[in-house]
Amino acid sequence: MPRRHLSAVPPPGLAAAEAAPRTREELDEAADREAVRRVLDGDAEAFAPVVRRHGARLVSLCARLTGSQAVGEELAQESLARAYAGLGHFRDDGPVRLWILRIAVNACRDWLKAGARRERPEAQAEVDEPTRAAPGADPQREVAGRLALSALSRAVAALPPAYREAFTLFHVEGLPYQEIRAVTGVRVNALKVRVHRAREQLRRSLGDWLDEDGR
Amino acid sequence: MDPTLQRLLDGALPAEEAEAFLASLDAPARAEAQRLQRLARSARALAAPTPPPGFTEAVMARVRARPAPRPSLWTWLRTPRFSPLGAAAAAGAAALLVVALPLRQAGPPATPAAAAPSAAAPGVVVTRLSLRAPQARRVAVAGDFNGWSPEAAPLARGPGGAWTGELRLPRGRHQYMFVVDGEWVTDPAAPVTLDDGFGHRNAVLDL
Repeated sequence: MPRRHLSAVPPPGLAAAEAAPRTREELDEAADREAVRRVLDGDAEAFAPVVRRHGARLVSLCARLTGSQAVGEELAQESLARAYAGLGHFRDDGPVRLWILRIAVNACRDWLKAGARRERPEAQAEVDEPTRAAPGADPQREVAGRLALSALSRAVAALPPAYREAFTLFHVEGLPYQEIRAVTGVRVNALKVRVHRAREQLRRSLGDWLDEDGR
Repeated sequence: MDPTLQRLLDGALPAEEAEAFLASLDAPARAEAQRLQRLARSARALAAPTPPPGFTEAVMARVRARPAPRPSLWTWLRTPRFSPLGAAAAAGAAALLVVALPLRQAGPPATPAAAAPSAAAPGVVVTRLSLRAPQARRVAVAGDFNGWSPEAAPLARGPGGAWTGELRLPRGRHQYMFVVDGEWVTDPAAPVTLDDGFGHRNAVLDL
């Protein structure tokens, strides 16, 4: 069976075929495609840069979707390993990063559906919050900010899974609706409704935390 | 919800329009809109900038333990032909059949479905899937057997708009959906379906 050769043409949604990659996203996609080509030519180590490029986002996403940092790390590792093993199935019609995200989202869905999560989300929201204190920041405001972030993290973990998924992909990971549709298979209008309802539920859960200075 | 507020919170409103919209609200409504904006902005800070220590090495250890990836079995399938019509009518399409045909170890295959691929390992079942979707441009099957990839297993278009393909699956229970021009469609002919918890129903194959 002949090997498939990936086209150098950017997939739909990226720049025109004749244009050289310019944005960070386009550069990453070009590098991902080169890595896929090398892996399919037998160089397994060429997959490491793909892991470095997408690992942080996958861990963050899986941890949010499952409500557990440990489970998120495990599912992110497994999703990347599955992506590697399934590179022969990758088709030349979309960004590699969305294909990997889709594998991770489905791994999280399978984990949730399998009933692996026995505890209530509020009790299990053990997701690491990133620390990004600006140098010279007012310590009191910084503490208030972290408390608010922690409250937000717990509230997101308590959302129903479908709302949590849509909210996390849109507001936390910053994916546009069309890309979320490609990752989840959910229509854009339905995604907008889910994100809206998630915001409403978070607004009710967070109460005073969303006032200007938090509490 | 006010569609303008929705666009504001989705970050789809240009700055000038956002300012004008907020100025048009009374004080309580403006304060509420600003709380929701704060919520949307804060959420971005939940994204982790770096992976945990040792993450790449842990993944690569798993990678090295797996067989090298090979091109898909589906490359033998014909590339689907494109119809000038869109996908809308595909939603009303009806599935023709889903048949599972265990490969026999001895004797020639008795049906065209069993004859298509080469011999399968014991315990592997050749399953033919078919969906009638005359207006569709692209149909694939995604399931727990291919990581729910909408691209991994495209079906081939046949006469009359019947899309067909074969899977080789281990015995057991599998869940799947058809992906018709990007839309996830439950197999209307599936005798058993399960709620996936996300607003769809997965078809179930018991092999």
